[in-house]
Amino acid sequence: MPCGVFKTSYAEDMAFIRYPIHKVGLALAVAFLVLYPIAFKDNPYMLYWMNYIAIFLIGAIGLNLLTGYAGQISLGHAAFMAIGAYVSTLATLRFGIPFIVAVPLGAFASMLFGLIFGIPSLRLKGFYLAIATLAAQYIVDFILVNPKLAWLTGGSAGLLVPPAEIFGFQITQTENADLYYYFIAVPSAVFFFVFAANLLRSDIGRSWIAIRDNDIAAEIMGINVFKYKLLAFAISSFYAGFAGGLWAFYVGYLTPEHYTIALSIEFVAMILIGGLGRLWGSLLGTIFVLTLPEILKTVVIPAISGFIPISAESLRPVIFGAIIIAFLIIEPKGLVELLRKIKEFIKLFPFPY
Amino acid sequence: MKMTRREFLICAGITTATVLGLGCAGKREVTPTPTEVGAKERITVGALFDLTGPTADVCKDYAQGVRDYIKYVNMNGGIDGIKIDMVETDYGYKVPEALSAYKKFRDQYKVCAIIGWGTGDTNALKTYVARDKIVYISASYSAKLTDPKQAPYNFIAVADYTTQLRSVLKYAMDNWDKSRPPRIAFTYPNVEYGTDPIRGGKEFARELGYEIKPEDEIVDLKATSAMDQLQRIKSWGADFIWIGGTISSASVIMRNARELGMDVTFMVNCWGWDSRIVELAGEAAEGNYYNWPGVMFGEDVPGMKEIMSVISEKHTIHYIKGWLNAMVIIEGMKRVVKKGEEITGENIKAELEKLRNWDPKGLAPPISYYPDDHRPSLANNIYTVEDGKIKRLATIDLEKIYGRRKDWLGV
Repeated sequence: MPCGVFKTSYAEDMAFIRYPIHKVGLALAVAFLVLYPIAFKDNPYMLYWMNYIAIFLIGAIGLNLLTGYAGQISLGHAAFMAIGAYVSTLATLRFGIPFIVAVPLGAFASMLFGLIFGIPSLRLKGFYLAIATLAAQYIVDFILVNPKLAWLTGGSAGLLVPPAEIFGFQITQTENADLYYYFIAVPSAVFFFVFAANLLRSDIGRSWIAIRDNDIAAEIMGINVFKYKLLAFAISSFYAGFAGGLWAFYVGYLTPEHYTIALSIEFVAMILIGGLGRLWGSLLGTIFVLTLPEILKTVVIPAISGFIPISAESLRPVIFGAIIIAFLIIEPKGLVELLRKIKEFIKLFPFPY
Repeated sequence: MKMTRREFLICAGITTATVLGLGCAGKREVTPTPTEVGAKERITVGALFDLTGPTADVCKDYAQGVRDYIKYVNMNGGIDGIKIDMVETDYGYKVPEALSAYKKFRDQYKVCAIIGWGTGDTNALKTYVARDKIVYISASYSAKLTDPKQAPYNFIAVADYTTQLRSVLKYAMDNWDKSRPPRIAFTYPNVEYGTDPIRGGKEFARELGYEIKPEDEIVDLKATSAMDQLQRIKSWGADFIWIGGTISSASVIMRNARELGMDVTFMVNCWGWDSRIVELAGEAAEGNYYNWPGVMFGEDVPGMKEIMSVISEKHTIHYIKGWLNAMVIIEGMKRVVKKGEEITGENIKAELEKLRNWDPKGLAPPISYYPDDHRPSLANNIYTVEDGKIKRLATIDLEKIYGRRKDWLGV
């Protein structure tokens, strides 16, 4: 806490923007987000990256709420994303529901599934719950590729997503699709981020942390553990479903091949690398994991390609795994903790603490 | 010497910085500067390969074929002096990677043509390339890509999967000597490449008078055993089995069938086999019908001499597929340049649609594209394995028998 700062009301004390540095940070962040599309107006590639990160950030926040804050391990996150994607696409495809309604609808459907698959959490913890959520992942996977349901889901061939329209104005599958979609994906990501932050400083967030730390003690204290666990699953899958819906419309083509266990593990990697139980960790982890292949392709491979002939795609799982292991051993609290330590070091230099 | 965590972190930081610095400083990857379309010295072509994913077993050779053809063209003066740069990406058969690579090709390298690979991503990109007017030739011979109403900028170099299936069905029926109708079962992986030809194939099989097994058997691309599926087929009693997967699973199916003592003839799709099938499936490979509209590697055709001028090792038919795809695209570009026009996707498409019975140096049947019909030909070659050697049994040209049936377009 910097000196010279004092609060005179509870509201001020509990605010998000407490210190001068927060105000500066907020101003810079807003300026960055607003200027980004203007600067990269003609560069769909950079806009695509921002949208990609924003959409997956929503999913990562969802998983962080579930695993990092409520302590419920989930390996089925990609399945909830898939449900959101498919339901919102089918809503628009079959019933002509507009994009703005279809995506939340997909998120609600995903929330229902999340509730159902959260029920085992009443009796299962840790590793066993992970297996139960793994079952969710595979069940959804099988439903989506099953040729008998292909009339509904398109089977393994997938579905062509209709263009998204807002009040008649088409935003995807047009010339400036990336630019238009920026104004949907990024504000959504910001909204969900702030919503999660608010959720975490409320009684719900504190209950989750209590459950994560010791659910028996939490039960004794009077917290309805089952209700809050289910709430965690529900909200987390809502986030995932929303992200899935946004992603489906953005890409324009849905295949079950994308929403496999590999994506679930990528999400887990995102929050582990970023920082479990820290909201900013979701952001850092998402950026890191998603840009890793690009960094590999553009920087690392040229650096070592003179010595070893390897392609980026084959190196990616190796480096991925190595980084996760490295983080778990050296800095289990993730990138966010690493940054915090660097900040502390700079602040206290030359003192060690 | 025990390192404290601090020292370790400092070392890690320095290593990362060095790697990043080296990477930024010494870009050894060929990164051609984005060329203005029509700039006279170099033109860039994009390429998507799956070198580490589920179909990598057949894509490695394909990728080499594409690279070598472009090297061959550049070695021989390029297109009228214009050299071709290829930017390739290994997308591991994952659609989002393909999409991000596509955006890079389109925005950073400003390509006008892309040599693609798989059914999933080609279908995902077909609306994008149509909107962005980039010609896309794929190693996926899906029939959907031959209908310009659905995929106006997509091309393929040989007959599509469904037509290949139809031709082997016809061949088998023509050589069927028993009085009862032949019984056929379909096996394929549950991915788009596998399911694609089944509907059209079954319609034609019914037309010819086959008895079709009501349930198809799914055999995964990476399957190591197909015993369950084959048991069911054996109890139903099939004479023919269509294999819709790549060579790994195809060899597994053939070996398992032999172990079960089944007396069937396999009809194998063009990615389900190559010269390695003899060693992979051994005796089980004998006597089946193998599909591939082009020639075997090493056959005596003018195109093969061109190939041997660039490489000396033996490759497989997948290499020829890559060489062929690159050849078709470059041919389109050559014609555009000969007319004195700018090399754009639109112009390449227009020139390709004027091809009539163009012979790709004997490597595949003659190619004709029409503005309303992107089927290159309806000809297919049926090969078999006899005493461990691959032998051509017949060439079936459905166009000569049925004409370019409109109800087959895009199915």
